Amino acid sequence: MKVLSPFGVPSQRGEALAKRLRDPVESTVVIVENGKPGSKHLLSGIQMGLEARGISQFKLMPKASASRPHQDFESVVECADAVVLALGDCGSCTSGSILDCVEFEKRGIPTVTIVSQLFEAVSQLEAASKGLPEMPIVIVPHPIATRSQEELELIGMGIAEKVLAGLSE
Amino acid sequence: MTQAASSTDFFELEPTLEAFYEWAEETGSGDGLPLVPPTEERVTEMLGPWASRRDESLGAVQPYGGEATYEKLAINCVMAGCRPSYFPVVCTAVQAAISPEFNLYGIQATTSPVTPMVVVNGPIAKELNINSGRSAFGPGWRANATIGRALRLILLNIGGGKPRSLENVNPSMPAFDSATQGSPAKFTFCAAEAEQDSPWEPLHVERGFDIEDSTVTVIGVDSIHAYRDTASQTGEDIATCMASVMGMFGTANMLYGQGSQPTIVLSPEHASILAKDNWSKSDLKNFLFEHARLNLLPLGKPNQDIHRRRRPKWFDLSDMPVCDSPSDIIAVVIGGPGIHSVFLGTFSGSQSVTRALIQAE
Repeated sequence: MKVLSPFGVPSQRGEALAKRLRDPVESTVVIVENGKPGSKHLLSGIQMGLEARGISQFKLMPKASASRPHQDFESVVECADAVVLALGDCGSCTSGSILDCVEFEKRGIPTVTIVSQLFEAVSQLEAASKGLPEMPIVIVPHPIATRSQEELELIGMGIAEKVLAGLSE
Repeated sequence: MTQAASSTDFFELEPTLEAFYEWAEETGSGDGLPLVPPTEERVTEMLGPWASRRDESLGAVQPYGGEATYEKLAINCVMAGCRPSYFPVVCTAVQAAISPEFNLYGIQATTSPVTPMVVVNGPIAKELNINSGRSAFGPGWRANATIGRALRLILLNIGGGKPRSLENVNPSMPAFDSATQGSPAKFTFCAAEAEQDSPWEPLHVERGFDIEDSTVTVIGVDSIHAYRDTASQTGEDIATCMASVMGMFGTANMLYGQGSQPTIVLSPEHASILAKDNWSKSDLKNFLFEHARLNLLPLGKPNQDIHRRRRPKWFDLSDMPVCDSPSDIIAVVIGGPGIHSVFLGTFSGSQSVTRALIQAE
């Protein structure tokens, strides 16, 4: 018995990552917090870690909905040399975070997405399905939502080197 | 097991239903229930007048991005047990669901139990015998059961909506569905609106269509709360009790707002009590907005903080509305005799979408 395949096939494949930053110290890094509990302090820690590594220009541009595209997408594109976006720690917010960063990469802006450990596999899957399997995703322990401000800032500072590596040549 | 690489890929199996059921289980391409094998003959019959357009796509089904070609939709409709006459309804449901505002990126990947509810309006509902009355939500009716099921299989096989609990089953097939418990409504959820039993204009007319238009609406339903109100005899009492159900803790509507659309499914009896007291649908929505409120103060600081952060417009934590405006509320009449209505909490990152029934050219 011959049965036809029910599986769908994506039409887009093989996007190119945006060029990484040659000189991060001279770059404006846009910090995108998606409102998930803990993401703000986590990103504060990342920012402090990046400052310690010489980056001084930051712009905070939070997004209103974790699962929808950034409401000010074009404004971010206009001013960002790079984007760091947190946090994917559930299904829809991971999907929404990856989607935003894929679109930023397509517009030539290097990104790093911060995702919690439990959603690492699905975040990589979505990036790959959008043609960007190499898109930098930095993983943090799960859960994030229940940790104190101090813990979160320490975690953020601890991953700053990886974030910088993901943004840079 | 190899995943298909083109629209004409096929698999050779033993010619039995059992063989196909086993294959679907091994490949993670079913919903756990027996399926109809999608042979070339069955798929061609399903396609009908769309056969010459079989490789034409309605668009990508996210988050995986598989193309919703008419052929792929027909294959999944066959598997679900649809009649060919249901095919245009399923295609229209897909067209609605892949609209950006419905947000399959969120709906397919979330930990919440959200699923698209398909609501059919207009003459096609009667033509296809889609149940709008007793047991419209199940079980028993082939149209309701298989149209909703086909949409679920399409989200699974084309959009990557395989449950992550099955990610080790055929690992090459994407598994985005992170739902914590899932839901029985994720097998199928489809009904027609009981237009003949409603005192008000039906959903599609509210949304600008003519009464004689046939439409398909998808609503991202997160939670299903059926309740009984046996005692209310006035419109105000019906609406007050309805509001007390809708003002519950724990819905995405209450936590996020953001234009999300809490939905009330009224039994014809409840709708008629309201109408007898001269309540319009608009009156009902205004009342529900004002009275479907949650007092967060007894619920502990963490929840007060997160609601305050998520809903900054509503600073009185003792009086948090279920949505941000009356027009966010969706009200439809579905069901048979009885004093049960149903509050459907809906996903916050999604807007319901209504589309006119797709026609073959």
